[in-house]
Amino acid sequence: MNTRSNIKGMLVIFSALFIVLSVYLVYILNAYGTRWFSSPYNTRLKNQKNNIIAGDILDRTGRKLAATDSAGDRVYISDTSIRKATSHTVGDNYGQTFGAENFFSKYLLGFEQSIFERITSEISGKRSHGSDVELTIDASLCVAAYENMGEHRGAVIVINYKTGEILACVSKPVFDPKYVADYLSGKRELDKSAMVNRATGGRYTPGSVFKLVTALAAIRYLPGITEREFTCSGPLAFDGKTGAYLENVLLTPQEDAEAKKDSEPGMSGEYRVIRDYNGEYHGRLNLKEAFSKSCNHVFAQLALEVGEKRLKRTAQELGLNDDFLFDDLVAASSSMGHAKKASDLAWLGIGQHTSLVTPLNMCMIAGAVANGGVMMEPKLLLGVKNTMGSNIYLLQPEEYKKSMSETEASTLKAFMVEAVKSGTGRSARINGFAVGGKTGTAETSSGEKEPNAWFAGFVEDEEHPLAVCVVLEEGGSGGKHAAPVAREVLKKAFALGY
Amino acid sequence: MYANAYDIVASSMRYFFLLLIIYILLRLVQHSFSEFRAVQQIKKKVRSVSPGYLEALLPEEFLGRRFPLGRENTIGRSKRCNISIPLPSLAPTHAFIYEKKGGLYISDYGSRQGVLLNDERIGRHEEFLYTEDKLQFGGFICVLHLSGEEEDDV
Amino acid sequence: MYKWRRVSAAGLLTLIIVFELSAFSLLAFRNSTLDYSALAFGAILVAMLLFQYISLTAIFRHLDRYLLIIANLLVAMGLIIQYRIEAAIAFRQIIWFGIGMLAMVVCILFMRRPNIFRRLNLLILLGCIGLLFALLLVGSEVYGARNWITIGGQNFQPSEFVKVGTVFVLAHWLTNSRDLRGIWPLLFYVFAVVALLVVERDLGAAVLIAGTALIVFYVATGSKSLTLLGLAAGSAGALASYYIFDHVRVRVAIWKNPWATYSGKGYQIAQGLMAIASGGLWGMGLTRGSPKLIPAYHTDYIFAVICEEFGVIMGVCIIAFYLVFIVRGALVALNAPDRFMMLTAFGCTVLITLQSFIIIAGVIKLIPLTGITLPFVSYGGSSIIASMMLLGILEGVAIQGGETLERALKEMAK
Repeated sequence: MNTRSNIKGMLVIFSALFIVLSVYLVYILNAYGTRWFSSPYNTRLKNQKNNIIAGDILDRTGRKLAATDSAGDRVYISDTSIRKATSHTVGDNYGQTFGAENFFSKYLLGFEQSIFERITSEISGKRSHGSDVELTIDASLCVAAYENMGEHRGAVIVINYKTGEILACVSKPVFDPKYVADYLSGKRELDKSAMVNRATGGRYTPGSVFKLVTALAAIRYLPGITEREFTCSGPLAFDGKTGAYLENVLLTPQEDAEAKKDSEPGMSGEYRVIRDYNGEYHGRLNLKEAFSKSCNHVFAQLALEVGEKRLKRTAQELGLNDDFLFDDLVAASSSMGHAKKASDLAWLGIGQHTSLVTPLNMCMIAGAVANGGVMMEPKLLLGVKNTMGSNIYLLQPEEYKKSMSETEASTLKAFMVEAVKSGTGRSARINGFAVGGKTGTAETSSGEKEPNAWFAGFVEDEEHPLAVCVVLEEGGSGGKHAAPVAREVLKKAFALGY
Repeated sequence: MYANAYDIVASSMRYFFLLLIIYILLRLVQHSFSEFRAVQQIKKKVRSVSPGYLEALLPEEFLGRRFPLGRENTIGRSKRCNISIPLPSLAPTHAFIYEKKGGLYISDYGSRQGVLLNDERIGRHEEFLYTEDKLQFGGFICVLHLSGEEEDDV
Repeated sequence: MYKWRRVSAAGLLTLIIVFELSAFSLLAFRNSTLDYSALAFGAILVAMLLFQYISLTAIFRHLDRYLLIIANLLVAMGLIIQYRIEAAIAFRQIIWFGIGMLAMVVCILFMRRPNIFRRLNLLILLGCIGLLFALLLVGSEVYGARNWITIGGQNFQPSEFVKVGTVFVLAHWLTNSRDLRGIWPLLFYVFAVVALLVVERDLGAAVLIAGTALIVFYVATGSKSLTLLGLAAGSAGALASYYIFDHVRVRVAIWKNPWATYSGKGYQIAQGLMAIASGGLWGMGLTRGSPKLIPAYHTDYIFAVICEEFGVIMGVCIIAFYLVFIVRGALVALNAPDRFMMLTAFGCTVLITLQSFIIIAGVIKLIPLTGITLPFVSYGGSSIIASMMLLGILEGVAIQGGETLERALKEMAK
């Protein structure tokens, strides 16, 4: 019962509270400041636009993607195909999308300029001018990607996996930044959710590309797995009601084909089953072959063997469930689903069920495999030049995380190269280059629509360190449709010297 | 032109404001600390002479008499105690009042009647004393006044 | 021989006046025509601060100068922001500040006879409950909380004055009794006041008073078990209110993700966060932000406006000023001449602590937002008068403590 020392004790607690308060204030500014500031809701940006001539947005070859004309209006590059292909990356002037216009508004609108610069521009009598922003993308590569996607909606993203530079980032359907005012007033029609950047913000069911995660978990947690021999004899059977794995029930392809006719999708008679694509069966095979043939049977079994906890931990290390608040851009976060029963876990292992992954994340994973396990932080900003022509920012590659050991990476790399050489990804082959990749064919709704086609891959080459990810909505088979797009985009990248 | 010039002045002034406020803050902390030390020293000085005194309330014949306290005091019936109170209800050596870590504490010397602090019997362990605390040793009741913390009874 | 020497804080006051005058000059040149009223306003404020400081330090030698200086700085900061947003608001506020100074002097004088408060204790206790009860019947609703009362055309927020009353009630009952039996009127009082405030939906004040009561109870009794019990009861109450009241659930949902309901309920907090982010470390510069985008910019959200225009560094400084204020307040309590004054001074300190913490943490999304004012800074007559009264009580205790110590020093010299 000592009031004085109690007061002193409370004083210590109060001081701690206030220190937490100041530390938190500085922390949120650091962690979320840019994101909140460049939020499309922030009307302060709009106000600033009236006072200042916003700087130009250039691609890495110096093409002016966006500029401000003498009347103070924002104009975008006159080449329609470039304008459309880069629309999501560049963004718009009305705060409708998360693009460079928003992410880098503090440079474009001169919020970062020093007093000295302001005074010089004042003395020269000009209206103050924001800084010019140079992006890492190459507009011609974006156009190539855009054209190769054909009529499909979806996304293509190409990253230099050694530096993290985003070389191309295309999302379809596109909008035209020139006409955003018309879209807003309703004068022009806009495709459904065309404002969303699917490459960074689209959350797709991954399908078989998720086997990269399952394979890594198996290599990491199941010693000797690469030597083991599997038998893929037919569908994997689960109890129809409880979803428990029935190890002893072996359905032959013939039995399954019989029972399938009058069962609901995903069922075979009384059993819940996991089948392979188009009902193929692969017989005896090792892990590498299972990966390259994308065998559902084997990978579903592996997921069960690894267990949900370890699978989830592996996914986390590959960036799933992370908040993607990078310095240069903000992307949606990918997420791995939660398994209530064994059949859910098996489905998760082959990328179905409730996992959702962004193309950007998948591209980062493929890049990490090629880069010895080191995942680089994706970069969009190559440099910033102020009005006096001096560089006030230059890209510095940053490691995002070390997501696997070098041996794990080289094993996975060999798997992926094999998949392109002789497996499902054959259409991504390019003569003279070691391309690796994984295809995916993701069922979205029970067979009514075509599945989404995925391809995530890389080029194993010191001169051309490229990672690529292609998603085509309702594109059909990943091997048949997404892999060729990746091939064409990579060829174009080689031609451009990346 | 005017608006732009003003804009520049306004944006440069912010550094001036920040510097000024940080300077005020640092000076404030520094002043505040040195004043705190000065007050502590005065309190220590006051305390070092005498921690305070006991003012008797009961029995009647002692009312209002003040017994100054030293750094270590024994209270009891015996003549050898620093504070000797010749009442039969007190033990020869009844209690200790002593200074420790800048505070004043009391502990029972093992008397049969015990020591009551604010009408509650203190146990075997020491108790911290506040100014204005009421102490009872057998039939002797008094109030503690600490130096520098007396109640204003003007 | 030790001599009593109070360090003068006049130098600090001068710096504050420099700060205030330069801010108002900047505001005066905002438009191309010179705004004389801004200069006049700055001059009036300087005159008030100087008069207040010189006369108070002359009369009361043992005044805690630093508490006064910090309060003055915070008030000046509030007035600058208010003038920058809307001159008319600042003119009203400076009048309230003047009245607040009078209230402060009255409190200092009353603290010379603290027994008055102890004798009037039951009256204060019943008065506070009565005031809140009356509010239920005649109060008017603002921002979803029924916490305003209109007397003679002026709006008052009685919960602000109930706070001050609570300090005395707590100190009185906890001075004498150190067990639960002796303080049942206090328990009844705290329970009744918190319940009434919750019914009136003034959650900020309810949390504030419950928290203050709990902390002062712990400090006075040192009973860890009872305090934890109280804390558990408080948390249970908070949890229950989460399930019973819709608006509490909404608050928590907004806190979790203000952007989800940006166009609706999350608008305020999202705007506040964007304002802080737009300011960055160094701020946009005075007059260069857009504070009017944030609802309640001059009351609850004034901290976000400060961060936007003066920068997050200034925000951290403001937090540091509150911390220094709190430390000084606790020192006043530690040097208090008797237990009642010690608990009174500590109660005032706890109120300022919790109030500033709750609102700043709410604005920066550390905890769910509850609408209360930032002491000394926010616009609001009742708020600033109550804050100045708390300051007056602290100063009163500081003066008493200083005088007692000086007397002891003199006696020693004899």
